[in-house]
Amino acid sequence: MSKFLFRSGVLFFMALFVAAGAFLLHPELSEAAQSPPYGCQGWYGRHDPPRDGCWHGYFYDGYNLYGADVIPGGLSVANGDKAGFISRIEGYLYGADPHLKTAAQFIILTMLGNNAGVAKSVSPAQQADWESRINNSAISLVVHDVTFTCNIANSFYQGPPDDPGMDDIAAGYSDTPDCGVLNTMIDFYYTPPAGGAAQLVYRIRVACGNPLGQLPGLPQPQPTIEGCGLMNLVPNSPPEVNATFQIVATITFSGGPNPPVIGSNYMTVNGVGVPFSPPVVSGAYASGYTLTFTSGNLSEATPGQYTVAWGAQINELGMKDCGGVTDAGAKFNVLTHPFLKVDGGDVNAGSGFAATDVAGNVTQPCPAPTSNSYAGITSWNNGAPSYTGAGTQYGVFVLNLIHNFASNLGSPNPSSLSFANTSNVNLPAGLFGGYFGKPPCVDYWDTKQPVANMNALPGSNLNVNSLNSSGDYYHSGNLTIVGGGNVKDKVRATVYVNGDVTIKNDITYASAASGWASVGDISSFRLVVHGRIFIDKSVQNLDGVYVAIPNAGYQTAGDNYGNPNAGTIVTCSNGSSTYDPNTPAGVNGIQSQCGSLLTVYGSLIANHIFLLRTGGTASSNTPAEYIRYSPEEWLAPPSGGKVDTSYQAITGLPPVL
Amino acid sequence: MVVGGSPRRFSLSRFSLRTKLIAGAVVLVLIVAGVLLWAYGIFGKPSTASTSTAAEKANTNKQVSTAVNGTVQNPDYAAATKAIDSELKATSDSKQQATLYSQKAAIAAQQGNYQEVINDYTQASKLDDAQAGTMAVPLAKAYEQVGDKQQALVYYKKAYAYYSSQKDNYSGKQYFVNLTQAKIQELGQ
Repeated sequence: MSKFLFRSGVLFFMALFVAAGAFLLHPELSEAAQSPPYGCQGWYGRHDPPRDGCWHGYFYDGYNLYGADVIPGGLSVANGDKAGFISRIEGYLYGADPHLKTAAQFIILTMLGNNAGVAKSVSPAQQADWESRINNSAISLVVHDVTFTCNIANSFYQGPPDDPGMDDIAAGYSDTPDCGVLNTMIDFYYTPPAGGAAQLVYRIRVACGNPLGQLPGLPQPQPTIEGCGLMNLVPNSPPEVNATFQIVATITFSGGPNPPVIGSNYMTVNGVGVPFSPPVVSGAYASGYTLTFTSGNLSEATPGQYTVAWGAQINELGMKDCGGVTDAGAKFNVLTHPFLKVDGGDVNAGSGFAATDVAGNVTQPCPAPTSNSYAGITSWNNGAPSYTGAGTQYGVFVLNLIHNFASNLGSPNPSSLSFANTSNVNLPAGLFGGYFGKPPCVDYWDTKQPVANMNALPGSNLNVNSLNSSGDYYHSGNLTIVGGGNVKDKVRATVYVNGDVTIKNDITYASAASGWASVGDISSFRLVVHGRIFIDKSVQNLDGVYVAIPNAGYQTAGDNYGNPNAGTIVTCSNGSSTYDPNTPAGVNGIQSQCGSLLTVYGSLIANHIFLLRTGGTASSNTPAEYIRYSPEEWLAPPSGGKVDTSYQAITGLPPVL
Repeated sequence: MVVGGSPRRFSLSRFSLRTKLIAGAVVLVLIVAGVLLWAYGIFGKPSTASTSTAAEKANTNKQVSTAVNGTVQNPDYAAATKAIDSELKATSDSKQQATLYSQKAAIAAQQGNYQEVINDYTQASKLDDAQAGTMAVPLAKAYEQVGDKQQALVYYKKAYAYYSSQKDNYSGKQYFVNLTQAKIQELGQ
């Protein structure tokens, strides 16, 4: 019993002693006691707690406790002498001494941040990378006297004579008496591009050439941003509203890591982010890189100017922003594609005129058919397969080329009723024929009856509703058509004006909308002007035929949008002032004032027709000007002419020209 | 009603001396264990105040280490020096004081204040001459910098004597021997 008590007491005492000891140990101390006491763990990627990472070679992991300095006799370079440092190390790398060669390999590879286990060789690319990192302006090479902490990670050479058969640099810890006092170091400091204190990233103790400390090595140098490249659109033209397009933009840079590392990036249009593919790096380290941003498919519903901005973080550099409000090269316009549509009639470009002098006397009869390089049509057509947009339901007769203006509109062949369509046909390119050789002649002025036989208009303002009887009317001087009245039923009038005419209100036939009771009730209105016809921006509907006769010499008169020549019809004007599309004010006026559709039930005939309406767009197949050659024009002969009453029916038959 | 013998009474006289000693030891151990548990409960857990002090201490140590070891460029030398001076006032341990003077010398050297280097290392050597050999080269350099070639020569000779007597695998021996030899020759002429 007493032995049992004695043994139990001893055991209990031991248990209590152990328990008390455990409580006496601070938890942190307990954990620390499990860690290696020295600095080799983590040294260039080493993590080997049972061995604590020390005394093992960097390349081959060989184990040996003792060795020599990494560079016998030390490594001395002048403060700031990067070239001298590179030269010394590369001299060792290509020298005959295996010890120094190994030292150079170790220093280069660890400066590049490689962990243990890397191949024992330095490739040309690694050497170039190493040089570029040292020569990076963000790296400072400082030779100075500082201390180093005892027992930090150190390195030593494993090889002859201490370690025969080995050729490596091993991890050690620095227990030399020189720790804690001033030693000369070759220190590499890195100044982050974002600013802040320059950090020590690599250290070599001059006395022994040993790299010291668990340092990360030299970071890859930052690239030099050469600039923001151009912003382009695909397809390369101002996009139409609601049309699909892509934005391609670039940033160019050189140097830096190879390959470069692209961080966060963005692309915006008018400050709003748009979808885009991850920017793609192209080019080469030696010649510089291009970082290309490509947006997804975009479309804009509103015409106007848009601003693109894009940017990326390249390696550790801050965000490089491109484009924006101050960069004219980062803007693009989204446009409407206003177009002319014609129904029920043909379109002719290149006809000659029987022209007059200023007084209205015919001095230039209808010319003989000739070529005319100015007589073309160009507009906006949507192309295959529908060929909707600009065009006419019937034929197109043009002395020069027909561009994006379809004949036989509604058919799948936009050149089928083009005259001619034997050449200049390339549908994908928008060429729908042309080069017709025999144009008709416009001789309305030449064939009018003598002025003395016509009714004189009472003044310079005319309300067509005041025309109470059929016949020809004449006015000399400028005329303004105002009042908005309708042409009365049965009134078939032709108004000749020797001067300019400004149309400020709609001109419509009284019963056109509701329908005619009989052919005899149909109205007719013709306006034949020796001068210019300005159709005010507020006008939306015109019924009748509108003719502008030029002066003699019209073939070489050229265009003048600000002050049009005689023989011009302007489809959008501000009273008698036109909008000049060659001036910013004129463009603004056209964009802001000419958006309403002009529908003409009849014809427009002129030497020049300035089609300035901007409403609608090709992609939505809504025209800006819509000319509809309506049946009234041939059912109701002008100026009181009679329809042949023997007609029992009138219809259109092919060829519909 | 009582069955059997008389009721038992507690009496120490019934136990042998050895049993009494064992029991006493057990009681003593239990008391000691209780005291230890109490002490750990009171002092073992770091209070908020002591955590703060520890954090401040760690920060101060980091400032000093950064300045002395040059782990950043242009560290806060003034703050580090102030912290070292504060430590110097707080300790009476001569070895620790020697270390602190060495640290002051390192900061002075980086700032180009070589007279301060001389003063601090001299003071450190007086307090603890264990590192006198390794301090010889920095002292010699400092004397060179202040123009005292004679003292520089003295310390280069001390350094040569120290390093040349070390084993061949002493880290940097060859460099220091070569350096001091060259300097002795240069300054001795």
